[in-house]
Amino acid sequence: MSQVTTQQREQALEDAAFWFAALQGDQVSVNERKAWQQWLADSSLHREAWAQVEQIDRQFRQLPAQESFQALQGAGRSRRQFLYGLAGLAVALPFAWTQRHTLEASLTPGTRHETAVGERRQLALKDGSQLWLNTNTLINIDQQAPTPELYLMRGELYWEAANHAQPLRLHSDYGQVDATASAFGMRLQDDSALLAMSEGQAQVLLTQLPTQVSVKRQQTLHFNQANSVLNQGVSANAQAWRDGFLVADNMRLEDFIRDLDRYHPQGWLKCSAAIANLRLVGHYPLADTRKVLNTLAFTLPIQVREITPWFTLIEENKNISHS
Amino acid sequence: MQSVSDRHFADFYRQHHSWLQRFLARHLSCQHTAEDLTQDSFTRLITRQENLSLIDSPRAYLTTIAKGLLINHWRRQDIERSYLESLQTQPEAEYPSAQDQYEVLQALYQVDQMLQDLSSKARQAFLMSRLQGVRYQDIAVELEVSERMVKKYIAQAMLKCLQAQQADAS
Repeated sequence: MSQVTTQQREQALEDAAFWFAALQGDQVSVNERKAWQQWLADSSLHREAWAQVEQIDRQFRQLPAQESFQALQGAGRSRRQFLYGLAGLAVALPFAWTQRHTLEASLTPGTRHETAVGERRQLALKDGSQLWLNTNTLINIDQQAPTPELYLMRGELYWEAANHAQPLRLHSDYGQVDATASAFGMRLQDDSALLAMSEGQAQVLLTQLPTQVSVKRQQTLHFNQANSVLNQGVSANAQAWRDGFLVADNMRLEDFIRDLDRYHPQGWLKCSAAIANLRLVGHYPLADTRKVLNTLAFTLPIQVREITPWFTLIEENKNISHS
Repeated sequence: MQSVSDRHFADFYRQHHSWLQRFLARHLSCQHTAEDLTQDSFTRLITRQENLSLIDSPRAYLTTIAKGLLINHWRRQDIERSYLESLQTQPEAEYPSAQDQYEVLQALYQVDQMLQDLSSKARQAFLMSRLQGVRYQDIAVELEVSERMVKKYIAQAMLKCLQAQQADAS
C-alpha cells in the first residue's frame, strides 16, 4: 500500500470542509447527498476527515449559543467596531480594532474614560470645564499638561470650556484640534472625524498636512488625515444627544437607522434597501432604541424583524397596501 | 538543554526580568498578571530555542514577545467580560456553575484561536451559522455577499478549525 502523503491528508480536510459547508446549506439536493456519500465511500482518509468535521461540529453544538456568539463577537466595544464594518463603512477585524484602541489608551498619557454602547456620561474637569461622552466612546484626559489635553480614540464628545480664556488641545488619529473659548462636538467615524463648532474657534492640524484649517463659530469641519471640508452651520445632532435625543429633520430612514444603531445595545440594526429613502421628522429618545423602532413601525409602512436576538432587520411591511 | 545555554539563559533572565515586569505592570492593573506574563515571555523565548547571544537587541525582542502576550491577554479578557455580561441578562436560577463557566470560557478561547486568521466576514458567517442557526440566505443579506460566498466562508472557517485540530494533535 502506498504511503498517505501530507498533501493527500490536506486535500481530504479541504474536501471535508467543502462538503460540510454544502450540506449545511438551505437546500441540499438528493444528488449532492449522493455525491457526498460517494466521496465518503471512496477512501478511509475521507471518512477520517469527516469524523474530524463532526467532532468540531459537536464542539460548537456544546457551546451555549447566545452567550458564545456574544462573547466571540467581543461584545460591547469590539462588537460595535465589527458591526460598523458590516454596515459597509469599513471592514476591520473586530479584535484588531479593540486591541488597537486599548493598546493606544494604555500608551497614552492621562486618565482613561470609557462608555458602553447606549451609555452617556458627563464629566467635570479641574478647571470647571464640562465634558460629555456619547455612546461607545473612549478618551484619555491629561490634566497634568499645562493646558488640558484630550485624546479621543473612539466615539463622540462634547466640550464646554469653563471660561473664555481656556485653551484646549484635542488629539485624534486624523488630526489635532486647538480650540479657544469654545463649545464644540467632535465625533469619530470609521474613516474620518466631524468637528462641529458651537462657540469659539479652533485650529485643526491634519495629521498628514503641514497647514492648519481654521474653524469658526457655527461651522462644521469634516476631515481625515489629509483632507478636510468646511461647511456652514452645525447640525442639531452635534449636541442633542446630551439631552438624550436623536433629531430627524427630513432624514433618510437608512441614515436614521445607522445613527440609531450606535445607541442600540443589543446587536445591530439594518435597514433594507426598499425603504431606505423614506423620510423622517421628529425628536426620538435614545434611551430605548427598541421603543423607537416600535414607534416607527406604527407610523411608517415598515416592520421590525428580529432575525436573531443580535440582528434586527427593518424592512418593508408587505401587509400594508399602498392604495 | 545544554548547560552552557542554561547558564546563558540564567544571565539573560537576571538581566532582563525586572524591566520587563515593570513594562508589563504599566499596562496591566493586576500585579500577578504582570508576573505571569513576564514568566510566559521568557518561556516563549526558551521554546523558540534562539541562541541568546545572537539576539542583537534583547529589549526590543522581549518587548515584541511581551506585547503579543499582552494583546492575547486582553483578547481573552474581552471574551471573558462579554461572556459574563451576557450571563447577567439571564435569570439567576439559570446561571451555569463556576466549573461550567470555566469550561465554556476555555472552549471559547480555543474557538477564538481557531478562527483568528479568518476574514471578519468569514468569521461572522460561521458564527451566525453555527451558533445562531441563521440560514445562508439571511447571512448573505446581512453580509451583503452572495449565498455562494457564504458557503465558501463556511468552508474556509471549517478548514481553519480542522487545521488547528490537526496541529494540536501532532
